[in-house]
Amino acid sequence: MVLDMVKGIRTGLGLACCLACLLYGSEKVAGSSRLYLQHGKAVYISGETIPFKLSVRQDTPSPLDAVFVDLCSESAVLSSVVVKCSGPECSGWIEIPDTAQTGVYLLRAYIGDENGEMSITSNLLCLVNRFGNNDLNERRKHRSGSVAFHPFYVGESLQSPLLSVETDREVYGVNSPVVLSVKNQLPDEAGSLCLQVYLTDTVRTQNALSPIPPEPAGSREHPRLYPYLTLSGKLVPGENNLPVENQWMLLSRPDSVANIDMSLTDREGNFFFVLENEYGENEYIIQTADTSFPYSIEIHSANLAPPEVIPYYLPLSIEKSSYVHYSVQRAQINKAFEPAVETRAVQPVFSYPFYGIPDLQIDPSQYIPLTDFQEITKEIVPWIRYRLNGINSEIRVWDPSDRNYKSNPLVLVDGVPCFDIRHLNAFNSETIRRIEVVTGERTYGNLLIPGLVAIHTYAGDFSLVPLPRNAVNTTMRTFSPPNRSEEQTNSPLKDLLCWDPNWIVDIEREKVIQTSLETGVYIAVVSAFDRNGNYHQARTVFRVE
Amino acid sequence: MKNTIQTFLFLVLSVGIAFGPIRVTAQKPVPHVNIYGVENSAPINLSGPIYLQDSWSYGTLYLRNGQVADSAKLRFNILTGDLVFYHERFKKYYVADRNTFDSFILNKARSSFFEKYSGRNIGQKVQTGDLVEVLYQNKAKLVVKHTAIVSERSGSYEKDLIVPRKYYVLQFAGIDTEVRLTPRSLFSVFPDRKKEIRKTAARIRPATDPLPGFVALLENLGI
Repeated sequence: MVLDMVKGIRTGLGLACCLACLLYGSEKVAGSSRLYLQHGKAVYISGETIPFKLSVRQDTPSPLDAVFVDLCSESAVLSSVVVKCSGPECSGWIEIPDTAQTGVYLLRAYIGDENGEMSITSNLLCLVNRFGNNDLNERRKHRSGSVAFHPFYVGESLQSPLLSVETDREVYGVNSPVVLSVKNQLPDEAGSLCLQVYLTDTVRTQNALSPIPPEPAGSREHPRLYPYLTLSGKLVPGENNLPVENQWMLLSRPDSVANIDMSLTDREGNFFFVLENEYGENEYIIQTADTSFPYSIEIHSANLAPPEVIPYYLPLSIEKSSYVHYSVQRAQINKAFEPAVETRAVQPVFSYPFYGIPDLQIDPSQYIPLTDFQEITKEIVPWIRYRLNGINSEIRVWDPSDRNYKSNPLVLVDGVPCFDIRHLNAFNSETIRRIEVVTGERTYGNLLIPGLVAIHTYAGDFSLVPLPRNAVNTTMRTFSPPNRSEEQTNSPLKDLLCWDPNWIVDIEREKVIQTSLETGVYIAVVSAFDRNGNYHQARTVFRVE
Repeated sequence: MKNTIQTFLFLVLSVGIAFGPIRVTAQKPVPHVNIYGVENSAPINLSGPIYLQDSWSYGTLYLRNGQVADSAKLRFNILTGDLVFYHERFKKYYVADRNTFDSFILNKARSSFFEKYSGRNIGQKVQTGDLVEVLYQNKAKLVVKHTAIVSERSGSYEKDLIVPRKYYVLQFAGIDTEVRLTPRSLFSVFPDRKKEIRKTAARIRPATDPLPGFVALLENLGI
């Protein structure tokens, strides 16, 4: 009887557990995304650019703004770009610095979903320094555990039955058209095809080791990564156990047009700002709105840490091959034909100080030179009372509704809130470009402004005032790759004949590409990632003589 | 006995799982939209409706920096022609700075889309930059400016009265004309189509509320 009861309980528990698994096991994380990366050719020379294509496959469509792409060496990020990606596919290019040594590098792309969970993908690529610096590769050769990397591995097993590509002939002359015909039976949701035609080595190492990108170290420690540009950090209490929850954080940028953003900290003191249309190298100052208690602020890096170890090296057979030798020579020649880099036209963004049109605007240069701020406010700026009393100072602004002077107005220096106004007295007619005054009570989001005094200096970079209390400054360098045409260079020598990352092919289509003066064996690869992330590839080989 | 215990446990545990605490996933981080407002000063010694609506309506504000403030508590002040928003944190209402937004929507019984008037000035009644409600838009655009005048009372203890006014402007082919909601007012805009306007108006027979009838007339005329 007891045994029966125990068995009954056990079976009941089992059934309940199964039901729990059914209920929770099938649940998918909202907005989880998978990222796939393709790049142009097999071997790159330093100073060249790497064209790449990013395919994002998401369970649920979510807004996507920024994909981070970087080229990593061991413990170093050589270059990075932030690609604006408004759809499931986007493309761009990343520059290889001239100083990059010969070796195997990691090209990786990463993105965060709505929950801040990271999705990362990476490819190994081979890079040759055009000045012959191969110290890095030599060191890796002698390191235990390093494996030879064969850049011409194309993976025979990846050939897809749904995709095929053919050329009309096997041998072409220089500067002659090559007709590529593609048959595409992939479903529509697979997206566009990526076509790359590049020069390959005559001795292809098909049986070589399949390259497996190493796990990027440091990626796991990254707290949150969102699919758009964010600046996040953590508020840390100073001495006592001060509360870090529900503290307003202010983000400002030294600029002639003042703009402030606000963020409320969560229970652990985390905060984040969404940076919209913020591309380029910008300095940001983050501070607490409440300066009565000491806090310190930690800023999280928007970029992942580079991998500590890349356990691959370029074997001597490839390093000393004629292919690499000619590639370096070609790169040197192509430098002479390199077109000027066209920068992406930045869309004009409405730029307006957050406090609107000021009630009063004073240009001190229109008046006689005045030696300090107290004199300036007394002589030429009405509606402001500034008093320096020993080490303390006080500033008040006229409030027309109360017909009285209100104390503690918001003081901005070059657009940055400055709560310690003792430093203002050092300003004089030579340093101040203009003073703007806003009277009356205002609100900007959750920031209550009892009155506002904005001082714009000739320097314009907030350098004349020390960093306020509870503030930290950080610099973010983010940019999107400029628009590049398919014809990347006017050089008569090309090893990458075609790179079309967004080739829309209905069922069957032909494409004509032009060969250059560079002879050798070329490989044409057509590839795509379907909705489930399966890689489909078709390729064909032709010769140029 | 065994089956009873099994069924009982299964039911109890499955009900517990199905109606147990719901898993809360992290919310999508939404950028904070800041509306800039000036302290609102309420008029004194006036009686009558100051606002277009009797109560607050939840609306959407399209800021000039590209951000969109959703679910803002908005009201339109017809006396000053300003948009007033309620600040939940400070428990006060502020006048939204006109330089910081382009348009807004008030959601009440119906959604009303407001934008800044960009046509020529109609005397002192409708001027460039005024906030007007867009009633109809096709080849022509019909907008209305909600405003008010203050009527002085003669009695010494009586407050001055706010009298609402509406000015309708039809914008067509770059010409802005003040119209009243009658078919006849279209004659000056379309002098060649007087007969057609009369016929269409007779067919439609505008209801007692002239606005839907006038909009239907514009629609039928294909303007």
